Amino acid sequence: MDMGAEDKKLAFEEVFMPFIDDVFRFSLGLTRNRTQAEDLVQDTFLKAFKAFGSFRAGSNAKSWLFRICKNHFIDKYRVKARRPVHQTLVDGVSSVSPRRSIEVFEREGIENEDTFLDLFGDEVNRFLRELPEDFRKALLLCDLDGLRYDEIADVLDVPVGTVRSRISRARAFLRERLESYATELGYGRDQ
Amino acid sequence: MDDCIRYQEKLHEWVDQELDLPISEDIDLHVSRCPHCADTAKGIRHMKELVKCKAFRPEVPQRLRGNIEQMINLESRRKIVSRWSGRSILPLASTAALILVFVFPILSDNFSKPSSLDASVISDYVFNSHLRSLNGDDKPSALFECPIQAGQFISGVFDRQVKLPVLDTFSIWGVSMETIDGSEIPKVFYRGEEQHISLFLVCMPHVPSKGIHPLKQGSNFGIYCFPGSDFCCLLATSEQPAQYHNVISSCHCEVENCTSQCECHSK
Repeated sequence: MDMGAEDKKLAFEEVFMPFIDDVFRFSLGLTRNRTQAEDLVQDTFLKAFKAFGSFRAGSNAKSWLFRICKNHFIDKYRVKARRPVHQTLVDGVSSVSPRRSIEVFEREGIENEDTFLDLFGDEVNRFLRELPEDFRKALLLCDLDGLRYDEIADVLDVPVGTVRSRISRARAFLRERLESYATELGYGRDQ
Repeated sequence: MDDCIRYQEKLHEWVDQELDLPISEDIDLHVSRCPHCADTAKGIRHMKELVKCKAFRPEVPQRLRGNIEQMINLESRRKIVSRWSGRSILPLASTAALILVFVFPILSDNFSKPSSLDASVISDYVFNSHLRSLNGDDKPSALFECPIQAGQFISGVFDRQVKLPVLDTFSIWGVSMETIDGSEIPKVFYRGEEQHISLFLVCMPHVPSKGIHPLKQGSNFGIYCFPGSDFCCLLATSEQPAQYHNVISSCHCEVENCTSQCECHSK
């Protein structure tokens, strides 16, 4: 990418700065520490700016930033990095029948999109936190960040098949938790 | 029902639009005819929507956003500097607890304007700036892992060679450019276990002196000027500045073309 310093800066700001909140959230997920996350975001943007010439126009800027962020995190905090927690949850996430959740969500009164979304509030984040880290990352990169499976695989350094499996199992886990919660609120099947 | 099992395996990818067109169209057709799979797909969509709407979305602090913009601004102004070998001209690396800055004589007009700054203005500013650092309200806009890189960075911005000290008990954190009375002043952040040091490179009129002279003294730290030939290195520290005196005096000798009238030049 051959451009003057000012042009390069403007182009960089236009393409990458809109994702600063996303990178911050991603960094928080990696570091679990606000100060470290802020440092990581700064490092990520500085590295991205220096490597801007190697960014291919038309490719996904957000996923490029995430990859830089994660690689830098591994380099910088390799020793301190938290290992993903693999609890028994992992084995339990895929066992729920999809049909059951529909029976809850499709009840009268929940069909309305707003009601449906308002129903859960912070519970969603609580259940997301309960997800094993690898599953949560894949799910958020897909549903929140809108990355494609191959881009997520790139960011997480895992095969696409693993991404596919983690996303579907994460949703199944989340659905099971939300279903139980909805039932507690009186929207269960026995109502 | 057998069909459903086959299709349901693909429903997440179908909802995520990850499938090739022929497979996707095949599932479109099946879902349009099968209420069971249509329900499942709807549940997956709801789940996606729920995560998208409700997942925690922290906003980056405004201060951090400003730092990054400033850092990019600085980086974009950075010029290519010759890659002199820090190792070959830094025999002082073995020196413990060293604070020093070398600046070549005037090479550019970019550096701070000496005439516009005086000790009273600069000392207050430096004092407050270091205080902000101690309170965690000020952070470097450009991060570095070693003083050589940070020195090269400042050199690139100002077209003057600058070397920053290697400290045994402090690690370099980064650099910010601060504007004081229209002059741009590099501020270098060092972090220690308990103490922090800020270093400012300032071109300003100063009392010719071989030694250190204090500019401002607070209850927990002081601002000290380590004079060079055409600049002052202002150090904000809670430690005794005298420990750096000899090191800094000898440091001038390490700079090629240094015009400072330090002892080494008379040898």
